[in-house]
Amino acid sequence: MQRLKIQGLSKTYSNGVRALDQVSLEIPNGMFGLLGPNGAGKSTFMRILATLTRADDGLLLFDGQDITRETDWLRSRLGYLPQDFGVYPGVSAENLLDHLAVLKGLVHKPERREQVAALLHRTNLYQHRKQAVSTFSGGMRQRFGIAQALLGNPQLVIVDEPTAGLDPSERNRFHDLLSEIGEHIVVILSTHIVDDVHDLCPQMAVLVSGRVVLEGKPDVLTHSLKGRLWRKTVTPAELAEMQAAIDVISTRRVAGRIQVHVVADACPGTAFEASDPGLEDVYFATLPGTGGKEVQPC
Amino acid sequence: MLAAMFRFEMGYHFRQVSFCVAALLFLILGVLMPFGNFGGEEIHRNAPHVINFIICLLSLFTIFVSTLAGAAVVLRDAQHRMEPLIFSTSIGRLPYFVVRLGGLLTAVFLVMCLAAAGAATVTFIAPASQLGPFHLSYYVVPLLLFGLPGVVFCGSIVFATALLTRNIRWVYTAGVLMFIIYFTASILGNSPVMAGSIPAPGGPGWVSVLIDPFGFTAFFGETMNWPVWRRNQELFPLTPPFVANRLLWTTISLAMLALSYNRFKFRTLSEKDTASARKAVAQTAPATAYRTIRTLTNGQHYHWQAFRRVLTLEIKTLFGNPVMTTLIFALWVFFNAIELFENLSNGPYGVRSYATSGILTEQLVAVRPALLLILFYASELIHREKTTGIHPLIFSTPVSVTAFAMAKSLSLVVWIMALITVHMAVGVAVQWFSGFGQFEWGTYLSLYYYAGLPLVLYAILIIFIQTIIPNKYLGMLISALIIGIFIFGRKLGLESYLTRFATAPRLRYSDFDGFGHSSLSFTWYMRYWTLVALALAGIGTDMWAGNARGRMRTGITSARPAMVFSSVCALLAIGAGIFIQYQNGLSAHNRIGTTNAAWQAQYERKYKPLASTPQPVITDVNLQTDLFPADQYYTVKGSVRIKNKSGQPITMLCIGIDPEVELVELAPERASRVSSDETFGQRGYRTDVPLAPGAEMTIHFEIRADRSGFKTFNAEHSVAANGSYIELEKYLPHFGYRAAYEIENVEERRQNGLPVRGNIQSTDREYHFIHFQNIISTEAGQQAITVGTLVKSWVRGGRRYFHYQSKDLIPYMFALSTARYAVKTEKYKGTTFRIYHHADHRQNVPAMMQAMKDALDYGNAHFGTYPRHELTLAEIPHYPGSATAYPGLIFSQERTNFRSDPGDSTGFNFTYATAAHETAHQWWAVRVAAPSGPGYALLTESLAKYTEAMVTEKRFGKMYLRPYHVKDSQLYFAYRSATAEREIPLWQTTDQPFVHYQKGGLALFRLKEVLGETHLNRALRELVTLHGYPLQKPDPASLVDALKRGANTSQARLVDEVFKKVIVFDNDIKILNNKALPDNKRLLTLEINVRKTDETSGKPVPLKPDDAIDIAVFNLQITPNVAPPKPVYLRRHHFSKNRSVVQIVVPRNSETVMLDPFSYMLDGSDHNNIVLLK
Repeated sequence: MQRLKIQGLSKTYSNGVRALDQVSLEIPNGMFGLLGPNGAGKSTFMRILATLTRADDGLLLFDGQDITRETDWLRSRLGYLPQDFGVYPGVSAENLLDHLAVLKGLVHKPERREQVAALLHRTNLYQHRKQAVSTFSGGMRQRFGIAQALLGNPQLVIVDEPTAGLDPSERNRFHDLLSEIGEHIVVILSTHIVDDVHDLCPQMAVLVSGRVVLEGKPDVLTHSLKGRLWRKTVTPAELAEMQAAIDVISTRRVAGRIQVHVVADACPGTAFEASDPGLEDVYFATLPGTGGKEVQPC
Repeated sequence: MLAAMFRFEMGYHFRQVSFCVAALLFLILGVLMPFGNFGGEEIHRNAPHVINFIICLLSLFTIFVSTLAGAAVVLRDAQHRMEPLIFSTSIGRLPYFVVRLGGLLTAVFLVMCLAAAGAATVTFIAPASQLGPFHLSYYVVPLLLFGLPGVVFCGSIVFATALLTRNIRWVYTAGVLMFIIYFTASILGNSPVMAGSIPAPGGPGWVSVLIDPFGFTAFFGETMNWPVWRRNQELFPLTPPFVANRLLWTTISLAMLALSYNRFKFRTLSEKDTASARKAVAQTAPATAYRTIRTLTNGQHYHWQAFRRVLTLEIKTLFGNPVMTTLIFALWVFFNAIELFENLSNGPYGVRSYATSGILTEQLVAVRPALLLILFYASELIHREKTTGIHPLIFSTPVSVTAFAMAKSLSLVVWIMALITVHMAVGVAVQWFSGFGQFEWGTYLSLYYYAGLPLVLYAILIIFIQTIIPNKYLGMLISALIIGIFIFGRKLGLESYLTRFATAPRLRYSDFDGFGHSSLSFTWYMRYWTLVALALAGIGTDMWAGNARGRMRTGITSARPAMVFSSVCALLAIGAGIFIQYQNGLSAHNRIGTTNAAWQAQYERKYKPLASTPQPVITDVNLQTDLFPADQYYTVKGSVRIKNKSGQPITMLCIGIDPEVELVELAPERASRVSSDETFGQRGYRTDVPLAPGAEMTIHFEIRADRSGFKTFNAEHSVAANGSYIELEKYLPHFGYRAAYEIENVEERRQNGLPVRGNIQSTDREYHFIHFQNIISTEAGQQAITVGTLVKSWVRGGRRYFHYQSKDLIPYMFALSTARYAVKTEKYKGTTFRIYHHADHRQNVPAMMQAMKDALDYGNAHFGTYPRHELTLAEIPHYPGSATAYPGLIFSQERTNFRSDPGDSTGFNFTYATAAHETAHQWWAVRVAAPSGPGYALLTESLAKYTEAMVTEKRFGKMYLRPYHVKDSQLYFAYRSATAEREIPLWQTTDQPFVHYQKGGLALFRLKEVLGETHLNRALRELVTLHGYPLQKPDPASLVDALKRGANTSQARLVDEVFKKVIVFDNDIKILNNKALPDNKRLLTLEINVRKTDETSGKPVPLKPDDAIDIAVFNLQITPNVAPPKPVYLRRHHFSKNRSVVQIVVPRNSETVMLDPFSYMLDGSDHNNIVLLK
């Protein structure tokens, strides 16, 4: 049973930019990764789900409820970590988290206190709980954002670029936390970091220019590229020639030289070797400039 | 590089919405303002004076433009977190500073220049007759002299604040404070900038010119007395005080900028990153495991909790920084305290009032400056979530937007109440420090209602405006604009209180009634405006939902609760508005009436011809007056007997009734109504048989007047729960044309197309005295006072009746008052003196009693016997002047006479003098009066002033009069220069109070000094015996003739000069030599300069002096405002040259030499009439 059903979601801004164009997804419990380049519409999508913006068109159902109408119902079971947020100046972490907890509906004081303390521990902010959040560093603020997203009993957690600014160990803690809670609730993770999606998400989609260009399980999608991914090391001059002729999906510098990845059914040229596709390749393959080649899931 | 940076800076400024709006606003103001009134019709609309005025005024408002620009632009790096990027470039400290400062100053100055450009457009808009030649210098020079320094000053304060504090709040605070400080200082310094300021005699001192950063005081002080031709042609001169002012303030501005340059933190980013900010708290408690917890988001408990949390947070933030809050409140206390202390000592002639709770509260009701702070805080409140960036976290919770909006609004209300509490405390403190022990806590607490409620309503309005305008700065600007429109609404033509937000008729306080009289209309208007505000609040809440969470795509399918609430409130508001309008227009005859210039002009045009129609005269008045204080109305039933004294038969009775009165019935005997004009209350009755000369007729009538708090307050026609006063003679039906309805003001007459008021003396020389009887009833417990003798008094049906009857004939004057009075009665030389007063107002009664006795003694001895056996004085709560006299009765105003502090240090008992003055009117006005027209006031007011001075002199000594005369002289010159018209000589004085009061008193005193008291009083006694009732009224010239009789040539010449000419002096005295003499004496050689000018024709003509002036020497230094002791030398010297040298011998211990010690010479500059011996 797909808890979150999205059908035909569209939004156009007043300046004519079409942020979302007939997006349809079915998202079950568990972690769901949303990949896409800048301007793909990921943040707009997240904001609509977080009930901060209204879509022009489309049907959004969560647990069978139409969330365009039952907004307060959704908010009472929502956790949202925006990509960019600020805080009231001069309010301590403990106080601000408590404040947000009340707004989320944790009216019972002892329980609220307990959860606030627990979250501060889990995000390693407990020893800074008396400090003003406005004085936190970027990473600390990010952790605070994670903490507030988990207040109450969220059934739909939306995290937008959550690991930006976190060091590797913090990133791991975060992944542990998400995985723990993510079993029985819907967690939508929007990110640029393909590895995170690879590590954490059993389901994913790629959003490009407001449209879903890819959807499915990561390993299945990766598998579909098997045998069709080639790589070669070239010089800059050769690169320009090559890009005109064949489907280069990505380039990378290795030891100072350029390594290209190409998708083709057969070996596209001399000195190309077959390569094991990664999720990154899947992702790059869907981006525009690939000549419209779509990777079919098996 | 600097040029490119500067271009970017200017571009950034130009892109601010607030800049565009401010620029547009100043442009429009520049276009419109030349059409105002800058001193009369002949001033060109593009005269240098006008342009300078406009630029001056607008430079004051650049405070706001600078503040907004400073906040938006100067602090942009910190605000938008661009600092890391900017400061990691190679930009140097100086270029950064210079470009930013330059941008701010240029932007604001540009706005200023746009105003000047707007003013220049008048050349194309106004008709050529109103324009003079166009000179670019007329625009450029004021911009450079007034505009630029003003911009630099404001800009430097804003800039320095921004750079040094890097906090937007401080920038706003600086802006608001600048404004408040400037205006408070103007009020205190009696700056000519303030509309209500008393013209300072001698012009503003150089200190006041110096300390005004905008140069206003210099401008107004200098040009105040400029005649039309100078205003049209001359640029503002660079007088030394002015140049000093400009240099001073430019230096101060530059110093501030230098200071900020040296000390501002450049490339030292915020202390946020320093370790001190991050003290970790030890992890004491063991880690709690995270588990999810069920939330409760439906139901009242949740909404209530959320509301409480948001409210607490918002209140904490509003009061946030304890330093700022304390500073703001402290400044508020300081400036209000100063203003209160000032106002207490601002009675006439600088007399101090008691610091009563009532007087202080009445002052404290004005809290308008708080609106600026509310504006700022409201903006912060509304945009807080967006500005801090916490918006997505907050609004993804199910918190109800209504609860949110209400919590925010309520927090602002809490702040307002805190401010009112501080405000109250100021009043209490001032009262305490002034030593007045009776605290009326109820009155102080009522400030929450009278001052707090309008502020709360304004806060709601401001919140509403800033909700619908998403841009923060634009929202503030528009709010300020709208507030300005409402506050200055009257000047913009918004008359009705139903159109001016949260305003109600002025609250007047009296110890008799509290705010009683005004509070009824205040309550209703506040109900109306509260409903309007709530309706706006509903709409605002609804829009906030939209702003916070995105618009509802489909239309309004279900009625949103906020909109329903709004609609209900709007409907109720309309209901309240209708009720109020109905109350205002309840009486068919209530228009704004005689204070409405258009009505007055129409009346004159339509009914002036009546003045020449023969009309009867009233000979007998028999009334039954019933007052209903609690319901604020009264009725009069009665009859008047009229007689035809015109010598011709009368066929048409033209009867008029005042617009404030409702005519219930009017029934002349044997006449029928032929015309009726409701607008002007005029009715025409044709007599069945012409009324022959000498014949009489009775007219029965009944009137009713509703004086509820909704009517425009008229101090002469008021019925209050306690303390009613009605000048009844003005409100009974009257015959013929009422010249009192005409517009007096020359300018207003011109504007309404009326000819100059013809000023001819009435030909009617008869005193038309009447028999008078009035049975007055009022609430039991109140006492009614009116003219005549109280024959009988009884109680019936819960009401008290008073039967007053005049024993002999009296003039047609019969005002009455009723109140709960206490009375002091004394019998003296066969006359009963009574003073009716508020039970608590005992302090000044003895002085008044003494004055009445002394004045009666003097009058009886010198002018003629006072015909009655009683003289009564009654206290009334409100009155436009100080007191007024009726036959045998004086009405005296509460505030100036009863609430002035007799232990006051000015050393002159004004209360005594006033009571003496009013008693003197029993001769001069009641017993003798000139026909109405020029010179009437000479025989009433000037003679009363003279008598007052004589009585005071007898009681307190001649030197006691000095401070009083000094003030009168200064007032004479001050009012004289403020008036546009030529001064009329004393013997024909009309409509120029400074002539018949100030000059009249001083001139008669001088004549007494020269001719002698006996001579003067003989002439006055003649006036009474030859022209008092029942004989014919005197011509004012007869006083002049009487005074000349028995005088020698030079004395007669003086009499002519004093009465028939307008002569002023400018004298001074210097010490040339001071030689010690044996036997403890000194020989002083004095130089006395006498400049005598004849201004009768309007153009000053120097005259050769031929006058005697006193010289006095004292053996100590003289304190101004205090009566000097007896002089050690006092002699009158005669001067016949402009410069004279005089030698006098005085005692060794002499210290001060004074010319004209009694200050009756009408000397325009009296500061140089005193010299100190070293």
